[in-house]
Amino acid sequence: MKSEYIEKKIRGWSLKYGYRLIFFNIVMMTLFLLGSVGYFYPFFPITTNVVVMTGLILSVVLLGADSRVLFLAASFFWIIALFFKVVGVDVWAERTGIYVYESLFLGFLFLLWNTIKSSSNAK
Amino acid sequence: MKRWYWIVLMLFSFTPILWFVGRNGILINGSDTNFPLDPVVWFLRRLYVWNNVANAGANFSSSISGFFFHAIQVVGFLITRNLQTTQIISLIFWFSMIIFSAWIFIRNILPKNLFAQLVFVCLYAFNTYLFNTWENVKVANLALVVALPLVLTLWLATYQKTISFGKSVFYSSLVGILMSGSGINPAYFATVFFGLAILIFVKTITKLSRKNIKQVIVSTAMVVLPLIGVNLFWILPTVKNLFFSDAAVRNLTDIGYTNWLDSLSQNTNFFNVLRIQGAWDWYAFNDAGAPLYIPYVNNYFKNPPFILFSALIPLIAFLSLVFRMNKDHAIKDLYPFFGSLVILGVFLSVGSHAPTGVIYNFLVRHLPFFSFFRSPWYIFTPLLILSISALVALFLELCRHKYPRFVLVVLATIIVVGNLVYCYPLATGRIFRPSFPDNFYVKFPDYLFQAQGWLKTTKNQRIIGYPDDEIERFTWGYNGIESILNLFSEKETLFASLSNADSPIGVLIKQFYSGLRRGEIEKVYNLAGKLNVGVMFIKNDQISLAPKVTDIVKMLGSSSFGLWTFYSLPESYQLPKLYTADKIWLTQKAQDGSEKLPLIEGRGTLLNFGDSVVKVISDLLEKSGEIVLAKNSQYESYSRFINSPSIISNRISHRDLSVVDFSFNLSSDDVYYPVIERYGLAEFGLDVVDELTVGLDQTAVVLSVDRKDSSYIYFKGVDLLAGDHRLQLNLSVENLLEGGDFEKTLSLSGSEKTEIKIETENGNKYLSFLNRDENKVTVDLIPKYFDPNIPYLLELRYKQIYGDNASISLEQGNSQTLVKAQAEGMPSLPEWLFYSVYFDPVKTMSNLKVCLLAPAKKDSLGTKILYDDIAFYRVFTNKLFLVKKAPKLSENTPAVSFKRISPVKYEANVAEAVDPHILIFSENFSKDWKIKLFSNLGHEIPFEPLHFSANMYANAWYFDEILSEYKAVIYYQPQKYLVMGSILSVATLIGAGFMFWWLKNKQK
Repeated sequence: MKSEYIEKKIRGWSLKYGYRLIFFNIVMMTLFLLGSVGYFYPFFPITTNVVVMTGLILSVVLLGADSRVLFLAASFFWIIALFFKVVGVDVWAERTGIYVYESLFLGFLFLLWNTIKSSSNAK
Repeated sequence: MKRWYWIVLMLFSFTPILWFVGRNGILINGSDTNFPLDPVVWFLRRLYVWNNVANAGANFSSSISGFFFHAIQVVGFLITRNLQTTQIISLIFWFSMIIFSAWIFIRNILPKNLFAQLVFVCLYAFNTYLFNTWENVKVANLALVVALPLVLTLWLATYQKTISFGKSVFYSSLVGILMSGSGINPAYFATVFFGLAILIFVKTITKLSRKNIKQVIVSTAMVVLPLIGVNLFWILPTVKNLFFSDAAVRNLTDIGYTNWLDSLSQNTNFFNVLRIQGAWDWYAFNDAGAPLYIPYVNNYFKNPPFILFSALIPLIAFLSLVFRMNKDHAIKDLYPFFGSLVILGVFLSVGSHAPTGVIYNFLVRHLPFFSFFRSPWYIFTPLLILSISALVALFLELCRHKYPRFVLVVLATIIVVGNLVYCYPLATGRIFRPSFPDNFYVKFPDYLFQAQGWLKTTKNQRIIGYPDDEIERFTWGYNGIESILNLFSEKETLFASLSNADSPIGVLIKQFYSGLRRGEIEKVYNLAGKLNVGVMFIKNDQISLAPKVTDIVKMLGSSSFGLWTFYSLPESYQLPKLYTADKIWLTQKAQDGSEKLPLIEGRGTLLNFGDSVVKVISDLLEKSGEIVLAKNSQYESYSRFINSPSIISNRISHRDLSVVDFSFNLSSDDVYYPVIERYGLAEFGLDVVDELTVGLDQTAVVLSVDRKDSSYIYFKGVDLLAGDHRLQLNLSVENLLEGGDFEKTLSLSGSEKTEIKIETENGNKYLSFLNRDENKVTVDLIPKYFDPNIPYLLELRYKQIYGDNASISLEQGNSQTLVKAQAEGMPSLPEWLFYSVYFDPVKTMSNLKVCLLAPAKKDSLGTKILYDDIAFYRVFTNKLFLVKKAPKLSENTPAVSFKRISPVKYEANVAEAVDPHILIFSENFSKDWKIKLFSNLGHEIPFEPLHFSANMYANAWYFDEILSEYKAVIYYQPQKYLVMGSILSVATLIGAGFMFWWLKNKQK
């Protein structure tokens, strides 16, 4: 019952954001491809950080992600960072920590914006 | 409230007792901890803005904010008369204050959720950030951690009108007292207000209405004004010191602080900071990979349960932001607040670490006074801890609403128990590193307390300690960066300063120690007089590389306590703290003063003619002598080499050490008396008996000896014209490395894979060194004489045949340790090349060896180097002075008697003054030392004598008007700001109390 509900929700969301979801995926894949062959280097290197930041921002713009989604992304990156730490890849853990902070920062901006907006609406 | 709940909070508060279990009579002390062995003495120091006990005094404005912290110790000490009990009382007080403030804060937010409250208190009071805070019992950190939740709670309660304005003002003033300790580093004090500012901002934007803004302003005034009012006792003098003192302070370096921002931010990446693992000392390891400072740190880095738990708490905090409670408006508004605290707390704690370090560095460079936040991790992390702990508590509140009770209980129990296990070093006292040799558990020897009793009976004279290490490390475990005497005595002390080594007094102290090591007794005694030193404190229990004190000192009168001996310096050399100068000498260059001052005997005084105030005294030139320090060509060459980067050009040039040129410039035609430092002259063939032949301006001149002492040879006067002169001395130079030319047979040994032999080419013998051994193989040559008090020059020729570059290593050490190694990699060249290098030894009893290397490559051919003509010479660095004798300022030097009223006030009676005179006051110079003059009848004399520095560091006043008898009151002016501030602080407290009482009665 629960799984059906979730499936229904996801299907509904996919239909609602259909074109945007496709565009989002195209942008992400393009960035990965360009980044992997070193496009724009050294003028504008497409690093993993650029890809992650773009993904986070586009998820807000295109997919309607709110602050909760961004905080969830932070939690996800946090678990990834922890995994790297446990297996002893400290450098990657540190890098993933940056994505955690970026997600938190964007999520916080969103939260603040919503707070101000709801305050104005209440007024 | 349930009984178990209170018991848990009480048990948390009594954690410090666990630190002392099985450690009877032991104190937690050392490094930055500074637990006073006489709490009353320490407390009384906080009544004055001038700390006179350390190195001739310094402004103490911000340190007086420790008044309340030390008052707690005094109360404990007066009640128990036991130092350990006093320390335990003090520690329990502050631990329980953290528990209390955390509890008050969370109780105000989540009044119905005991488990969430407990979790918050546990996370806030037991975390890895506080390891360092408790390890060093850092007053400022403790005050910040205690004050932050209290201030936020008070503001919230005032804003929400859950407490009356009267209570708000009164409680704020009480919190102000607890918060006062953060003023020791005003950046910590500011951090509390920074946290409050974020809360105010969030509360303003969540309800944008005029009424709300008015409420925010009123609440802020009710909380902030009493907080600041109570702290005015240290704020006023600190502001005066920072902004309106001798030099305007813009950066840390202006007040002698080291900016260690980058080194502290080396490991503060986001991942570490969010897990509260950013302390720099956690990441210091030796070559074998063992922790240098924190023995338990490997658990946190390598033990999977510890790594998992370090990430679990932040993860719950993030999830708390995902699954928010939107129904309760009071709680809903807190998410943006705690979110901003996380974001800003992390950004600021990261400091100059990438990637946000660029912004932090920009702020440091461009935002005035932001450089005061030089330890971002230590200053800002409490903001992060508070927010993460609170978000975890909010998550538990969500659980309370959404899930059955047992979920809440289990989760809370896991977090509390897990956190206590995770923070086991804090709970058990392992933070004091009991397994390390230099741990914080110290048993002070009985002779220390015997010395304490004796010191109370001695007169007020400065005491200078020896050995002169910048960090005192005692065999029985204590180490500190100030004289240990300062822990229990009000006696003024001088010691090698770690933080102010290059200040005028620091340079003079170094000069004193240099003279002591070289046995230059008159130099030492003359300096001792100028520094108001009467006693030398020899610590035979100090771990040190410094040589033993000279036998001449051991013949002085002494008092011994265990391994400590106090030697009284001869009275004939001693000077009181306040006296009148009988002669004055001028120096054109202030930086030469430390070399010239030891030449001046008795009440003679050295003035800096570059000082704009001294220049004003027009008739001073006629009354003064002059000491000119000649430039020593060998010292200049050595100094240039030592202070310049390592480059080839200054290593392939030849230097002639058989001659030394002294060049000097004289300001007037006069009779000048040459004086030369005596140390080691005989080693250069200058065994001066009655005369010395020198070349003076290219003419041979015989200088007749007037007198000699252990430090100098004084020659009779020579008529010299004003202008530039050159004095030349021929020296006998001896190569201290016998056999360095390889002309004689040497016993040489190597390994199986080396070939070391003497070869001949065109009748010249040299060393051939072929090395195929991957291990380090050296040919060692030992100088026949080595005195660590002078520099040396090493010269050699070499030729690289093949393989790696030739290299040499100068290794200074003793039987136990290597003290210094200077390695030189030489250019790759298949021709004979001359190479020379200076060596500046560490001043300790030791040996030296010169090691020749042919570093082997990994290929089978190895390295082959030829060496020849290796020589090791002393460098002649003795100083030559030209002294123009000074007339007496007056036939009758005025007599001075004085009384110390307090560290900031002295009263002196000056009598029998018949001529203009100079009054010297041997405390560190500050424009804030003022003088007031009174007649014998007590009437103030309207005369302001010129104030300038004398003897490089002290205060001097010039009286050109003849006042035959007068009374002088010398006082440190900033003390009045402490008095004013204290009055305002007390008035704030009384006013707040009165307001509370009045409003309460009015309501009734």
